Amino acid sequence: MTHSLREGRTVIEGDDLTVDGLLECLIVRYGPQMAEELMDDGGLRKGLALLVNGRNVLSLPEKFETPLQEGDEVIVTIIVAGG
Amino acid sequence: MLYGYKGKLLHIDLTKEKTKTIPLSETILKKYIGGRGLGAKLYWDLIPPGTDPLSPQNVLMVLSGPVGGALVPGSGKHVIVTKSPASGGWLDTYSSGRMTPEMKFAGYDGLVITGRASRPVFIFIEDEKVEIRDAKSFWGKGSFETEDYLKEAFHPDCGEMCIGPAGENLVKYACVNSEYFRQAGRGGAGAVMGSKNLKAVAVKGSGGIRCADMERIFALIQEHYKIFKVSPIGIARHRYGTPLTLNITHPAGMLPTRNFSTGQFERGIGTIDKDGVANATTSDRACYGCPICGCSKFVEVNEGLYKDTKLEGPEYETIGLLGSNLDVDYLPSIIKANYLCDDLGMDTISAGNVIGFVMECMKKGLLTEKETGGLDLSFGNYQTANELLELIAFRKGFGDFCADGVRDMAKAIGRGSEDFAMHSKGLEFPAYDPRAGWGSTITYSTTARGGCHRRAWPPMKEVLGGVHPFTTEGKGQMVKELMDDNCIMHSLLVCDFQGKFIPLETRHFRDYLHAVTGWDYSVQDLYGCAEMIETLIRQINTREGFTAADDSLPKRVIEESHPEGPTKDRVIGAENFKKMKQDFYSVRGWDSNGIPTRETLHRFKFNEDTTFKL
Repeated sequence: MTHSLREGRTVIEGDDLTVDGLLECLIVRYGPQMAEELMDDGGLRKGLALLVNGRNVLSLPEKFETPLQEGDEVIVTIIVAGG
Repeated sequence: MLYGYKGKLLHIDLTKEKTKTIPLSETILKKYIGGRGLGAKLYWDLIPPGTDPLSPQNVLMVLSGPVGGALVPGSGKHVIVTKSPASGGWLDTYSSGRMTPEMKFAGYDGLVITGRASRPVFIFIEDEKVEIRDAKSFWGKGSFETEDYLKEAFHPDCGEMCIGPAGENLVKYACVNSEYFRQAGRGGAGAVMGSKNLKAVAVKGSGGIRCADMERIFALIQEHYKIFKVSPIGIARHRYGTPLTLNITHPAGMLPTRNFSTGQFERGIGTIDKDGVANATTSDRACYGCPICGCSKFVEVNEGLYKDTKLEGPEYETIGLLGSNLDVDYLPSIIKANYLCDDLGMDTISAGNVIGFVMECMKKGLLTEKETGGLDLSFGNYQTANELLELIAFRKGFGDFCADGVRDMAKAIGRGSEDFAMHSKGLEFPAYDPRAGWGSTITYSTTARGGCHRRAWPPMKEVLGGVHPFTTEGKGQMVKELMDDNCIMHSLLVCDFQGKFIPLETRHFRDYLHAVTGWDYSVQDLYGCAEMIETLIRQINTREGFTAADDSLPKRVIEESHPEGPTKDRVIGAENFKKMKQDFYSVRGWDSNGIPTRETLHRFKFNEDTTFKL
């Protein structure tokens, strides 16, 4: 999944886009495989984390409803095990 | 009958060149488990307060855990417990390889080494036969050549550990090498070996390990391997190893950069991160007896100044401290620095901190080329940094000044340099800036061995979990729970990565412990053991004179913010830091000075234990 997200470049436009909205856009654009890679029982797949500008979305006040601004960096990552 | 354990330690007195065995009772083993736990009990009994870490009176213990050598995932670990020359207090430092299985095959749960040999020596152990052999011709030689010799002269499949020149020259962050690229890296155990004139230990046993229920062990391994095979964390771990961590710590503002002056290193993405290392990777390597995942990587440099350098690594910590922390985005240089540290026998984490500290001192004009002997140690100057490593290991020129670590260097330099000497209790920081996850202020400051990421790893909660990274609430409890998890793993002596990437929980390790030993601990029993062990270790340092005042962090962490990233303009502040520490002491049952209360000590019944004597 890391590669499939990294290798393409795409533009998603929309007003009032939230993190949830962004995930939906990605799933609509890339289909069921993306849904399978990202989601699990309606939430983010176990073993993944989503960071907005370096902060875990779950630690933000509005969680997946966090609004996104132009230039925000969203990273979906596998949970790493340290060094 | 004991299962898993051998029921005795081998004591080697290097001064008298005599050996004897020390029996381990079932009562003691059940209470202290092994590894860190047993080490705490032995340290308490055998190393009196005030002992000089580099004197013959210091004790060097090499210990196994109950499940070691029995194919349990991640169980090819051993721990060295001794008094640290870096902190002057408790030290436990971990490595992997064949030491644990071969000690057990030879009939011992561990080694207790005391005294000082009259000349450089090797210790060769083959079952009951113990030989102290002259090592004079190897004094001054690197770890790799020494390990080659051990495998040729003693046995190709022996368990072995050795020091390089850094240990011989009592560098305070000298490590102990095993299997060429595995190190008990932290806290200066290599210098303790050096002070004993002990170049290496090699062990080969002809026996085996009796397990209570081998079929159950195989069943558990198969069950957990199936989980691992479909775990995204496990798959990523196998593909990328630890360098993937940089791709998280950079965006989180946690990656030490230019001596922790900021937490992001944009130039590192694609160069020294998971992709950079993957491009240099030639093969994988698993630890001894680990049936799960070859998560270590072999790399090779194919061109340029460091062409043909081959290495197992570099791991994330090394990339952070010898890369971004020095403003270096050239992976071959990091590979070379890692290779040099391994061969010279130095901890890459502390070495990276020392050089980063020097670079900042030069930038600020606190050190000049006059003091460095003409070395231009500007940020990014990797060639000179790599030259310095050898000078440190041999204590030559400016290297001698750097050999005692950033605490002593800052004391000598003064003029505010203490504020950015990144250590706690004399042990330099690992590659996670606590300002990007405040829980690490507790682990770095309160850990007995000093600035440490292996007691607990709060980024799992504060970056990868949903815990707010920039608050104090609940952090004492959070860190205590993480520490107890790791204490259990480090007493069973299993790698703490398995818990994260299979993933396994304490109940799974309890199952392995039961299958190997036949002893029926509950999960709650194990957490009780962890609380007891962590309190005994705290008591060891308390007896040595450590107090809450020693649980300190440099001013940079407490009073400065980062100039960019998610941590920009966020300052922890002295009050918040104090509050988190006090919360932690409270949940541990320690008083406001960080000293275990009488009630807490009474709960663990230390006074009912028999005492080890040599």
